[in-house]
Amino acid sequence: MPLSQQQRAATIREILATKQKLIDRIDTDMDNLDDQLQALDDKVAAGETLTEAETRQRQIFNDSLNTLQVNAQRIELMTLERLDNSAAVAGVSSEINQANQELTQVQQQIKNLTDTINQLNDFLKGVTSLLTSLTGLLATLAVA
Amino acid sequence: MRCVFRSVFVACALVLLAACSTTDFAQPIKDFSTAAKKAQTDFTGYAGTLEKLKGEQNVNDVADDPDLLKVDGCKLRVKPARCVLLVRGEALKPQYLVHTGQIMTAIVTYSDDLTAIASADDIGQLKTASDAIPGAVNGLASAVDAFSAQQHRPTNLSAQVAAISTPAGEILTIALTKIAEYEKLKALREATARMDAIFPDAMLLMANVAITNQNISNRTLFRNYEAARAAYSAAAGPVKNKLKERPKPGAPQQQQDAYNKELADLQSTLRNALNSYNTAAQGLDAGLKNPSQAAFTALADSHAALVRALEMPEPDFKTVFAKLQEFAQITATVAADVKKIDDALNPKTKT
Repeated sequence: MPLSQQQRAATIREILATKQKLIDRIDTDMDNLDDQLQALDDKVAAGETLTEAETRQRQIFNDSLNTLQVNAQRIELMTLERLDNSAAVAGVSSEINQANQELTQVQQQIKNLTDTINQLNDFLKGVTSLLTSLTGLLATLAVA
Repeated sequence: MRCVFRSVFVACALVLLAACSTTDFAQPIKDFSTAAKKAQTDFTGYAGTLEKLKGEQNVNDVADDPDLLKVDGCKLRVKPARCVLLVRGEALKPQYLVHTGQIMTAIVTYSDDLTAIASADDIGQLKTASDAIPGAVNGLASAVDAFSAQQHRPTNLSAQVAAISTPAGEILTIALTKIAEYEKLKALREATARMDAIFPDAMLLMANVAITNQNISNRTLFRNYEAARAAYSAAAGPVKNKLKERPKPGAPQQQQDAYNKELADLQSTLRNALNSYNTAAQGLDAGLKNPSQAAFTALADSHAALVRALEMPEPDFKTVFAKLQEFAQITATVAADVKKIDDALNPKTKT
């Protein structure tokens, strides 16, 4: 059974909201790790040399950032895939196609109307021709 | 004839019902169609990028766990005849966002259909109503008058007919044309009102494709920015330390020259690092503004404005044109920001 418009919109929004929660958490973690990296960068920029522990720490932060980046990308792509195959997308697609089919029918109806108007004009031209003949006949009779 | 004149008056009544003409909407609808095609180009670009990323991700997954790779078919005599490499049941290089892409295509078809109804020259194909009718009626009336005079029963039909028949052909042409215009406008109103209920969902889907593409790019831009910042810090530290070693006034010239050369070398490295840092910052700045999503929301807005304008007895073109102009401006901003993002993502291609 096709989803109603409300169900469709709710499904789309639910999928996106779930993804956004996960993504927000990952992006917050990435920002926090970046703060730590920034502190180390500031030390280096001030001309200080990082200790061995700090250098190791920097490597760990970088590796963690790479992992978070890959995971975030995975979640983003999976969500779109899920959405693309959802009944909500199928519903939107089917409704637009149906609307387009109706538009094609409307175009045909308007064409039919144009044809009808043209037929009416043809009829009027026939009437004109008949009137002209009648005029000629009456004129002949009047002379006679 | 009475029948014909009655039709004319009915037609005139219909004309009064339609306060505006479809020809008035032809341009906004054509602009909407152009905007929809631009959105489709954008969508195809985003979907293509994401499809590529998905393929790369699958390859990386297999690199991490070769057991994930399966082979479907690839035999000479086994049916169905096919040969595909699979990862988790999907092609290693998958087709991505097929159904959402179909929606985008259907929206372009919709905008083409609207344009066809609004600007098709069906009306132009209407034959001109017979201008000869008034003349023929007048001629007939004169002939009847002449014949009646011969019969000694005088009539004055020509004077009576002339008063109503002269504008008949003109009225008929205008009225019939307006009937067709009225039907077209009615069709446009119904079609856009119906799509109004679907359009926000469709644009939400498109916008999300753009947002996803932007989010993934932004994280890459973010990582590039961090790398550029680290490179800048690594270049700034030695300059700062070198400045502390500046020779005192009166130091031997040779020592000053050596110092100045070392400092100049370090500063040259710092300048290059600073330029890269700035390019990376500008790229991240453009990415964080998330302009790609705006193109689809602007299209949704312009459609909503079109619906509202078509529903009004007196069309509000100002709203429609303002929305379309907004869309054009956003498109221009996107083009400028895409260049910044591209420079930041591909620093090596920079000249």
